[in-house]
Amino acid sequence: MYDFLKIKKINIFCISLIISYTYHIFSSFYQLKLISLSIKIKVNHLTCMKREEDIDFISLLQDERFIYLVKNSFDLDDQVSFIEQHYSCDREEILYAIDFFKANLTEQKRLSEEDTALLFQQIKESSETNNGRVRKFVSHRLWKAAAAIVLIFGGAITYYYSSQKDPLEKFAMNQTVATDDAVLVLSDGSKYKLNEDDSKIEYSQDGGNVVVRNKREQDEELRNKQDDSGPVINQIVVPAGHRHSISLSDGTLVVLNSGSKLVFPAEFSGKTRDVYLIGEGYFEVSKNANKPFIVKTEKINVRVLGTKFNISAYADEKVTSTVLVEGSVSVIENGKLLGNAVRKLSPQQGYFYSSETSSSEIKQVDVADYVSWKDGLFRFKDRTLRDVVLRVRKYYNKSILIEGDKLAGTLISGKLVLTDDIDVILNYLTKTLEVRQELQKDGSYIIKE
Amino acid sequence: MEEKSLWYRFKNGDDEALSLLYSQYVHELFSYGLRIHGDDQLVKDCIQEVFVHIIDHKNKLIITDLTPAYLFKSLRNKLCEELRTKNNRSGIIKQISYSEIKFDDSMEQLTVNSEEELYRRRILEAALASLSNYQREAIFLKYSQEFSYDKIAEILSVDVASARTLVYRSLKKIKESIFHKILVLFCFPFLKYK
Repeated sequence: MYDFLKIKKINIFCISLIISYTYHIFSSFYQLKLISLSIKIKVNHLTCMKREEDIDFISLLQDERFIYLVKNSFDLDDQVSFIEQHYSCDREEILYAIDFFKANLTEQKRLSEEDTALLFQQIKESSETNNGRVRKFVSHRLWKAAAAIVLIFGGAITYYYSSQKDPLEKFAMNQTVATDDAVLVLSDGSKYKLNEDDSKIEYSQDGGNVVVRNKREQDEELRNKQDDSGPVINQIVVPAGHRHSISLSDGTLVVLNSGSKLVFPAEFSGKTRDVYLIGEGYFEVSKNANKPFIVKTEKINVRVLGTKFNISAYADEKVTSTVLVEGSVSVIENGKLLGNAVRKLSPQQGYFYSSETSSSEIKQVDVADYVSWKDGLFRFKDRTLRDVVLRVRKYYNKSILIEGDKLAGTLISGKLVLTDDIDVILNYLTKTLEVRQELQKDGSYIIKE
Repeated sequence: MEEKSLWYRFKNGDDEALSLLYSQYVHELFSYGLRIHGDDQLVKDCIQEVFVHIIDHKNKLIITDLTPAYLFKSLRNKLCEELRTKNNRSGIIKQISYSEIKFDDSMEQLTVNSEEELYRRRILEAALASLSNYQREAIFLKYSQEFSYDKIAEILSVDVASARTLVYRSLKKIKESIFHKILVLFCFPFLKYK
C-alpha cells in the first residue's frame, strides 16, 4: 500500500517537477501571462482528473451537507470515500477540506470552571452596585498570588472537612444492616426488630426513651444508653416491602418508604437538626425557626424550618428529588463550592437532580403523585413501565424483568394499592398494557408481550 | 425560539435567564477574545464589561436573532477600545494580533494518524498564516464558532454580502496557498517542512 503510494508519488513528482519549473519560470514573466494561464489549467487537470462540476476545497467548505458529514462521522476513510462518491472532486481537496474544518473545530478555548463562576459573580456585583465604572480584576500578578492563597487554604479546608466526614453519614456507611425485617439500631449497636408494618416509634424530648407502639396497643419501651463520647445516634432500616413511620425527639414525623435508611441523633443538641437519608422519606418537620432541619442525602441537602415534603434519594435510582407539599425548603447541591447551588422551592414544586447529567431542574408537579405512597397508594402519571416496575420491585423485594426496551419504555398512568398481593398488582399492570406475565421457577417475574 | 424567550426573560430581570445566557456564551466569547488578543486577563475584563453593559442597559436591548452576535460585537469593540487606549495609537486593526501559538496548539492536539496527515497539517498551518488578520477572523467566526453570515456581518459591522465575500476570499486564499505550497514542495522535496 505504502510502496504503491510512493511510486505514484514519485511519478507525480517527476511530472509536476517539470511542469512547475516551467510554470515558475514563465510566471515570473508578467508578459507571458497567457502561457502561464494555460499551464495552470494543465496543472489543474493533472491534479483534478475527475473534476466535472466545479466542486473544490472552497465549495466543499460552503456546503452544509459536507459540514454535517464531517461533524457527524469520525472515521476519516469513511468520510473521504463517501464524499468522493457523492461529489466529483479530487481526493486531495477533500482531505484538505476535512482537515481544515477539523482544525478549526477543535479550536475552542474554554474558560476554567473557577474563572467562569468568579467572573459571573463579579458581573453580578458590578451591575448591582451600578457605580458607573466597572470594577476590574485585580492586577494580574496580585490576582495570581491571591488565587494561590485561596487555593491552598481552600484545599486545606476541604481536606479537613472531607477527612472529617459528617458523623451521621459515617454512621450510615459503617453500619450496614442486612435484614428482612425493619430494624431500629440504638446507640450501642443493639438492634430492635420492628415486627409489624406501620408501627410507630416515638422519641421522648431528651431522646433517652424510645417507645414503639404497634397496632395491638402493646407499647414497648426501649432506652438509649447515654455516654459522654458524643451524640447518641440511632438509625432505622426499612427493608423492601415495608414502610415505617417514626416520630423524632423534636416532634418531626418521618414516614420511610421501602428500602430506606434514616440516621438521626436521638436528641437534637446542635445548632441544626441534621438527619441522613438513603432511600425515600416523607417529612413533616415541626416548626422551630432557630434550629433549621436539614435532611442530608448523597447528592443534595434539603434545609427547612418547618414544613411538609418528600425526598427520594435511592442509591440505585438516577434521579434524586424532593417535592414540597407545604411551607418552603432550600435545596443545596452537594460538592459545589461556587455558584448558585442553593435553590428555593415553593409548594407544589419538585426539584429533580439527575446524577447522570449532573444537572437539576425545578418544575410544577402534582404532589399527590409523589407522596401517596405513604398511604399505601402508588400513584403515577406518564411514567415508563420501567420506572413503575422499579418501584414495585422495591415494595415487594421480588425480581421483575421486562422483556424488550419498547415495552419497558411504554408510558402509563394510574394507581396501585401497595397492600395488595404482588400477583394482583402485576395482573393490573399486564391487563392494562395487554401483555402477559410469567412466574419463573426462581420466583422472579417476567413481563412480556 | 427558546433562545429568544431566554433573552426576553433576561430583559424582564430574570436572574436565572442571565446565568443561563452567561454560561451559554462565556466560553465562546472567551475563545473569540483570545484570538483577538492573547492576554486572557484583558479578555476576561472585557467580557465582564460586556455583560455589565447589557445588564445595565437591558431596557434598551432589542431582541432579534442577532442579539447573541451583539455580544461578540461588543466584546470586539471593547477589546479594540482597550488596546487603543493602551497603545495610545490609532489604526488599531493592525494592532490586533492573533496569537499564532494558540493555533499551533490546536493543531498539536489533533491526533495525527499518518505522516501524510501531518504533512497536510503543516501546509494548512502555513496557508492560514498567510491570511490577513481580518480574513483569519472571518474564518474563525465561520468555522470555529460556526456563525451564520448575518451574524458574522453583525459582528464585523459590515453587510451580509461583504461577510460572504470575505469568507469566500479567505477560503480562496487558503486554497491557493495550499496548492502553491504543494507545488513548491514537489520541486524541492528534500526541503520538506520541519
